Amino acid sequence: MKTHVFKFLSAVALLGSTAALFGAERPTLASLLSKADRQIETAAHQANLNSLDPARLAIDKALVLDPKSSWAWYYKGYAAYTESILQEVKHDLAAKESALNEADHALEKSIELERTGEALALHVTVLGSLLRVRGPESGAQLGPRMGQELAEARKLSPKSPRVLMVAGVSALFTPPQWGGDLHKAEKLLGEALVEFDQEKTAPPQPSWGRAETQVWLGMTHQKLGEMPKAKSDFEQALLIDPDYAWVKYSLLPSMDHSSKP
Amino acid sequence: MTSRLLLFLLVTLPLSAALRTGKVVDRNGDPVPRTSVIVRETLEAARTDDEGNFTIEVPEGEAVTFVLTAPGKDAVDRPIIARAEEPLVLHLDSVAPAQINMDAVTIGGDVYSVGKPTVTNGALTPIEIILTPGAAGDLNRALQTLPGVQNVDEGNALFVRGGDYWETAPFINGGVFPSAVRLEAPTGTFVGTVGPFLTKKISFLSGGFGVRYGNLLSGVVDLETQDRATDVAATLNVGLGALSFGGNLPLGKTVGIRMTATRFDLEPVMRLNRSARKLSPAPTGSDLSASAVWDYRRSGELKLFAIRQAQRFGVEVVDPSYQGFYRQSRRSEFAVLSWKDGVGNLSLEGNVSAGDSHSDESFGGLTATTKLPSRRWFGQVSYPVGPDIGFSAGLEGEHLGLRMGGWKPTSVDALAPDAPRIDLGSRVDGTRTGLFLESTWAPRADFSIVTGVRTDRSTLARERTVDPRISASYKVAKAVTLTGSLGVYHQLPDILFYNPALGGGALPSMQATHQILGLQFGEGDRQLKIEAYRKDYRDLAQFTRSRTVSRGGVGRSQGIDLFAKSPLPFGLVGRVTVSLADVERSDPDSGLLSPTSFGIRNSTTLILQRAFSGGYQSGISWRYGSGKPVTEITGSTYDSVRGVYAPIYGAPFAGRFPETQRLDFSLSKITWHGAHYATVWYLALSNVLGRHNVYDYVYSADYRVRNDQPTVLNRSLYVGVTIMYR
Repeated sequence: MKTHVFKFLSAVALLGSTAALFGAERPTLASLLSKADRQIETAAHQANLNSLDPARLAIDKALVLDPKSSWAWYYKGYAAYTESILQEVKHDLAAKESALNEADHALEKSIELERTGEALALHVTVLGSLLRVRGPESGAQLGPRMGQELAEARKLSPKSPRVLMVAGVSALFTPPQWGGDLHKAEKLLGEALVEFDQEKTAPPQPSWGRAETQVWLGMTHQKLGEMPKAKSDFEQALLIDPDYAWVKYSLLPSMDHSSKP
Repeated sequence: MTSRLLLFLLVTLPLSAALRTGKVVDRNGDPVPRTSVIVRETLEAARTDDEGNFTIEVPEGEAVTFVLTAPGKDAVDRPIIARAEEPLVLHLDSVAPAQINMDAVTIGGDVYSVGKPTVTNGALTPIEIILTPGAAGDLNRALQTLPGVQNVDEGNALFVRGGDYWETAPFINGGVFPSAVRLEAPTGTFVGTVGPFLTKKISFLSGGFGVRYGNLLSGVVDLETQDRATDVAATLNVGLGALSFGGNLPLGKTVGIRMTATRFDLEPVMRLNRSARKLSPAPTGSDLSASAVWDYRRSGELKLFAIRQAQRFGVEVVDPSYQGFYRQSRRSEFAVLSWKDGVGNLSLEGNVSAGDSHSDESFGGLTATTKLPSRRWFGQVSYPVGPDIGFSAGLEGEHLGLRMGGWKPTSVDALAPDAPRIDLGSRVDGTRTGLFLESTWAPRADFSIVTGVRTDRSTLARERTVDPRISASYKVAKAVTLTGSLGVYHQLPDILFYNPALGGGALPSMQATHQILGLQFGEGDRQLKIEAYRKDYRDLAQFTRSRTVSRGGVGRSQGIDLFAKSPLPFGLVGRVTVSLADVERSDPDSGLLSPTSFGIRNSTTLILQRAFSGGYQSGISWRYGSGKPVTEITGSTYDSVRGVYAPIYGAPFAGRFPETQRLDFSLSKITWHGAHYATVWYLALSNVLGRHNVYDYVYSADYRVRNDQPTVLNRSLYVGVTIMYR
């Protein structure tokens, strides 16, 4: 009888240990990257470099789980790009260029693994920043590539709000003689906002960019001289994220200041 | 009952984990902030603070792998056993031999797109290459553990999927390395290689390779030397039979040079391990290599690599007709200048290389001097015309030469100095030019197809060959990839075959067709790959027993290669390779289709490795070969005119040597002395069980008594130490 009891206990223990070993709750790739998506956007809005650390840790974990995940490399590029913006705020231009190079590398890896419209569009943004850092002489090499990748991104993901946002920002900042058009920017960013409202993404696909698009639309309206619309856009962005530091402490106060007699 | 309770407790007790504080440092010992530290096995994770410190939960006393990811750097693995009594300091930069940075070795019927492989069929990390037990740091011996390579003998030559060793060529930075035979001993063929530490990336392709590679029937070993030296570094290695020094020196921000020098004398190794063969002298020689890299702009690189190798040895050979020392001295030089750049989306690369090899050999009536000069150039341009399609095109040309002098016995059964001889004196020159065009089409993320064609013309073969090739890969499921390849391959016979003194002359290019189908499950650390292939040959040139040329041979080889690697319990990492092959070629002496001396039916290799605390790394390997075919000698007749016995041969390669087995063990320990200096002690025990493997027979003068040819070393021990400064 003792033998049977022992065998039973051993079997239960063995099964339990095995289940614990294999069934222990481990984070999934999607959960890690979904968390990173929110954390990066929060860090960007709050202009807090240290807030990027948990996102970077989650992404690096995801890459340990699956080093061939194109989405993990995408978020690595997104985190590095966000860091480049925050380093610029700190006026550390060397760190900014270093982060941009990291973003470029990660997004190229993501594109190599899977050509998604999301990765191509973000890469266009990174290349645009690199062009500004490296100077006009790099335009001959990076410019055509940006155009090619943006066209491909729009072809692959015509309804992606982030792709539309990048296309709108491109139209906003490209000089008119090179194809820039403020009205085109306004149209594209407006379309992006419509798509954001209808977007139903499943992790690990990205969901960031709603408030940022509203800000870019506000800047477009500013450039068009439509100040009430611009202010409304910035206020709308603040409604989406009340901690959006750029809007809260810079864009809206500057509008209030300029509108004072 | 007590033992059962103990078992019960062992089964039920959870692994203990402890919260540990550690530090990540760079090569200077400085802290590295903002770095992710992740335990691969548990996914416990932490970030370092501004002082490089972190706190993390680690299984106590268990072997774990830390994955370190610093901003802007690729993730690196640091396997250790965390013990409470030892400080947890993780080095971000590669400093130990086991951490030298080389990309993975890719294996299998690989497909090539515009400049890079689109399918990785399997991989060995640099740690696995350097620490492969039994490899003793020899690149070829590590490559021998990959699928598709047959365990033929105790040499380091690569016999790939039923092909002879010279049908697989090593490329260095695009130039063909003159890896002519260093030693063709009765128990194995030893070819020249370069030290693994010189290389940054090694690709091994066992068939189905793209049109970029011409003039090859079986396989490719594509080596890329290290990039520009960016830090001063030095390495001194003292081993039982070798002394070597290496150094890196950056010159400004765009130029870096590297050099290595090695002097080896295997006399102490032979004495310590009591070689069964008489050697005079034991293998002795030197290697000297240097490289200079100029990164003249962001996308452009100019690289010069040169190496000089020299060696000599003598080994007693007991032949029925003559007993004496076979002696050889050899010297070879090779240099390659390679260039890479990009203009817009256009990728450009090219190289020019020159090689010279000089050897003198003597045995009884044989006295031969051979010089093999070669010059080669190559250029390729690649252009992606769209997001899913790209083209590459290239040109290459080479000049091959043979300068031979001396004498050789007329017959293989009469080798004494006074035996009848023929004059080997000859001079052969030939050129080959090649042109190729390749396209890559990837209409979907999970499917790609590579088609290409190359054409070659040689003044030696006096004909033009055309090789169409196609390969494709399809990702059936997330971790399941199906690959296939079909192609025609041509190769000129070795230039020695064109020596008119050996009966050579105008020989056509040899031809092989490859048909390969593969399936891979998983990637990276855990993977299983199965590949089936069939190769058909024609116009083969081979040497008869009397070293005269036999032409017009045909043949086939078919088989299945299996490769699996995975982390295992108890901190072990294992990989297993099984290569099953059925090989037939025309016997050069009888013309009959028969097995070949290198057609091993079953080659199996099992490797287990483990890291221990205190910087120890250990591994064992077990290699099995089902025995190589042999043509039996069934009797003899006495030739009264020549005064020698002439052997009577049985059916070609109808017999087989006994199966071979070998168990090897390796152990190393790294110790840090501050942030810059480290010592690595290493020990390698080959053929631990002292198994008597037979690769050749020796006969009495009348061929009535047959004995096993003893191998140069049976069980052998090698020890050494490396001192490094970074």
